[in-house]
Amino acid sequence: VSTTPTPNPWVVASSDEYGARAAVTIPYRPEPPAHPADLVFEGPCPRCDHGFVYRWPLEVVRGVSTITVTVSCQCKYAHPGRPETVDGCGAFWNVVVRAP
Amino acid sequence: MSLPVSGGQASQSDLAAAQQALADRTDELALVRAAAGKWQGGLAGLLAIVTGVSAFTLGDTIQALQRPFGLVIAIGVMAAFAVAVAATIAALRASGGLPRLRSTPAAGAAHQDALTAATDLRRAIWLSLLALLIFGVVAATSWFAPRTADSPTLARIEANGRSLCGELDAKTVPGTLLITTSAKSVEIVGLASVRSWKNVKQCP
Repeated sequence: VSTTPTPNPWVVASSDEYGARAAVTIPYRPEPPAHPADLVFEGPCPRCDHGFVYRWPLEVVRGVSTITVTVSCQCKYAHPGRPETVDGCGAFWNVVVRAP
Repeated sequence: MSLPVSGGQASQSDLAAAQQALADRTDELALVRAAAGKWQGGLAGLLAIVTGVSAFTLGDTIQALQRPFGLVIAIGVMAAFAVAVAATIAALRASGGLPRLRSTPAAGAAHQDALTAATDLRRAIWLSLLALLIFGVVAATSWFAPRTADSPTLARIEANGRSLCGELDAKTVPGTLLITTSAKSVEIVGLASVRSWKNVKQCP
């Protein structure tokens, strides 16, 4: 009998809980630091706990102090039911970050 | 590294917009390169027509113009050629990029390449317009600049036992030559009496 826990199936889903957990566990950094073109989020997925890296393309918007970013899990773990063309477990959420 | 200010649930439309933004970023370099390739073809054709026509026709024009107009036009043509070459190189660089070696994949390199290509493409367009503007000014100047007067035909003629040297006048009576000598005397000589004729550059 295998003791390996069954991985979460791939499900496209979002919740306030995912967003709240991500806001305290997934830090972000601007890249490149001098003239940012992307925000890079790196940390554990709030749903499956697998580590992932997510690169968000920045747009130039003047006069805003915060940006709302939609992040989706990009882990490489083979969640059952996941299409071959995508990564992650299907979880996605919004976070509000300070404009770089 | 910073932590987000807050987090919450996202909608399906948020997810769709994010996926579209990621796809746009992925495709932007290819899109800019493709646009630059089309611009490159158009600019090259336009410049070839203008520079080709100018190169083949302006040479004689420059020779015929008074100084300093001929010199100014020659310099203008060379400047326009230089700008046209710079425009072509910028368009080529925008459509094909420059060869580059990287030891490791650089994050965001494709986006930087897309920004560089877009800048090169804008530069190519402006340089092409500048080259066309210079050609236009050069052409207009060549149309209206004063031309050098035709040099008179000077000849040394032996006729009636005399040697005459001077400017020949075509508007003369048939069968005769009208010669204005350097002493400003006008001589009419019958063609039948001419024993020798030699065109000269100047008369004594």
